[in-house]
Amino acid sequence: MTTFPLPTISDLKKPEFWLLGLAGCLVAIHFTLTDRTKDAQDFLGLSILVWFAVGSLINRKRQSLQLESGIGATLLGAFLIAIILLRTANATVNPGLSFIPLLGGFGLALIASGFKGIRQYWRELIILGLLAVPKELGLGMFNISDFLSLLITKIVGFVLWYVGFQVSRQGNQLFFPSGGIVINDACAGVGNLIYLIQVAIIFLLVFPLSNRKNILLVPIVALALAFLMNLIRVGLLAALSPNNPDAFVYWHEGTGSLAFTFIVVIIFGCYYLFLLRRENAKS
Amino acid sequence: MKLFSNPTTESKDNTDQPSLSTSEPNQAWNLFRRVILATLLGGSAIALTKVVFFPAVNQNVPVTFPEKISLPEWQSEISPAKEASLSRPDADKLLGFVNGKSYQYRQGEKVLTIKMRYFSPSIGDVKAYLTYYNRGIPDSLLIREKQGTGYYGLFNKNQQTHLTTCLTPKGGNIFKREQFLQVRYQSDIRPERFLPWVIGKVPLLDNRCLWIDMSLSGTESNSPSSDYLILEKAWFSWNDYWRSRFEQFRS
Repeated sequence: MTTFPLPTISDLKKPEFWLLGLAGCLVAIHFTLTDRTKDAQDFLGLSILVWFAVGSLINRKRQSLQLESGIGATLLGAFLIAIILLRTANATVNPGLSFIPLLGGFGLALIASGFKGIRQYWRELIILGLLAVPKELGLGMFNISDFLSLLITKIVGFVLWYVGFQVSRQGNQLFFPSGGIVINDACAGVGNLIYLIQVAIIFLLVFPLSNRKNILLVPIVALALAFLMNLIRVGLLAALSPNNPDAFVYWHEGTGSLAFTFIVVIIFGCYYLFLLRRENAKS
Repeated sequence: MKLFSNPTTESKDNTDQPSLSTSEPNQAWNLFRRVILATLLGGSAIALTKVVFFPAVNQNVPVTFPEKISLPEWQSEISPAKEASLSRPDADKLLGFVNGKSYQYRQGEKVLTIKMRYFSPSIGDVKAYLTYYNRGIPDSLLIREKQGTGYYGLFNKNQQTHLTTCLTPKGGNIFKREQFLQVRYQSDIRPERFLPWVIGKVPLLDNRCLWIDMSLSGTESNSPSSDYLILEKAWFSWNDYWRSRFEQFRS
C-alpha cells in the first residue's frame, strides 16, 4: 500500500510546490472561463482532455525533470503569466482562451526549466498548441466542406434509396415526398474531422507507438471514423426529418448531436488500445 | 517499459546548465526565484478569485445624447418620436444596439428628422441597419464619399430623402462593412492601444458605431438632387459636432 505524505514546511522551499500551485490556478481560470463561454462545449471537452494528458505526462516524469532556470527565462516566463492573469481578470469577452494554454505552458516551462530545459516539455507544448488550432480552419482555409457535403449527400441519398426510401437528390439537397433537407457546410463534419485528428495526436504523444506503420495509420483511421460517423449521423437525420421534427432537433442540435462525437471517440480509443496491446505483446 | 522520457537528452540538459560553483549566488538566486514564484502564485490566486466570484460584466455605457443641439439655418423642434421607437427588439441584440435619440428641425415647410443610434459592438454595415430598422434598402441608393470625412448613402423613399452613414470613433464615416473593417485596421492598431489590448482592457478593433439617419420631407422640388444638397450641408455640421465628441467617448 502506498502512503501519501502530507506537505511540510520544507516543501515550500522546493520550486515544484509553487509551480504545481501556479499550474493549478491557471487551469482553474481557463476551465472557469471556458465553462462560462456559450457554444463552446466541444472546446471545453478538448480542454479537459488536454489538461489531463499534460498532467499525466508531467506526472510520469516528475522524478527526472530538471528544474533549474536562469534569470532571463524566469523573467520572460513570469511576464507571459502576468499577461495571462491580467487578460483573464479583465476579460469581458473571450480573452483568447485558445492561446492562453499554450502561452501559459511556455511561461511555466521557462520558469521551471529555463531556455534549455524547455525541450523536456515538447510533447506537452504540442498538446497545448492543439487548443490554439481554430475550428474554422477546415471551413475557411482549406475549403473542403463544399466537396464533403456534396459527397455526403450523394452517399446518404444512395444508401437511403437502396434501403427503400423514396428520395431524390439535387446538388446538396435531399427531397422526400413529405419534405427535404439541405446538407450545408456545417453538416459536412469538418469540425469532427479536426477534433478526431486532435485526439489522435494527443493519444500518439501520451501513449507513443513504436511501429512506424501504426503511427501513420492512426490519423487515417481517426479521419475515416469521423467521416463514417458523420455519414451515419446525416443518414439518421435525413431519415428522421420528414415526419419527426422533435427527434430531428434532438439529434441535430440537442444532446443527441454530442452523442455521435462521444461514440466515435470511444471507438477510436478502443482501436488505439488494441494497437498498444498488440505492440506490447510483440515486444 | 520506458516510452516517454528520453534519458539521453535529459542528462545532456543537466550538463548544459551552468553549474554554480559557489553557494553564495546560488542562495540569492533561489531566494529570488522563490519570491517570483510566490508573487505569481498569489497573483493567480487573486485572478482566480476574481474570475470565479467577481466576473467582469460587459457593460455598454450608453451615449449621452443632449436634449437640444443647434444646427445652423435650422429651427430646433421637440421631436415627436420617442426613444422606444428607435429600437426593434428582434434586431437590437443581433446588431448590438445600445441606445439612441431622435431630433427634429424645421426650415419653413421643410422638416429634417435625425435619428441617432449607438451600436456596440457593431457590425459596421449601414445596409444591415437599413434592412432591420428602415424596412429595406431602396433601389435609388447612392454611395458618395467626402474627402477627409468618409462615406455616406443617399436615397429617396416615401417622399422622404435620406442621408445615412455610420460614424466611427476614429477614422471617419463608413457605409459598407468593407469600409468599416478597412478603417478599423488603419486607425485602431496604434501604439497607445497596444498595452490596453495586451491586458485585455480593449478589443483589438474598436468596433463601435454611431448610425446617423437624416431624413428630409416637405420640399417642393421634385428632384432629389437639390434635397441631397440640403441634407449634405446639414450633415457636414452635424457630423463635425459628433465627431470630436464620439472620439473622446469611452465605453
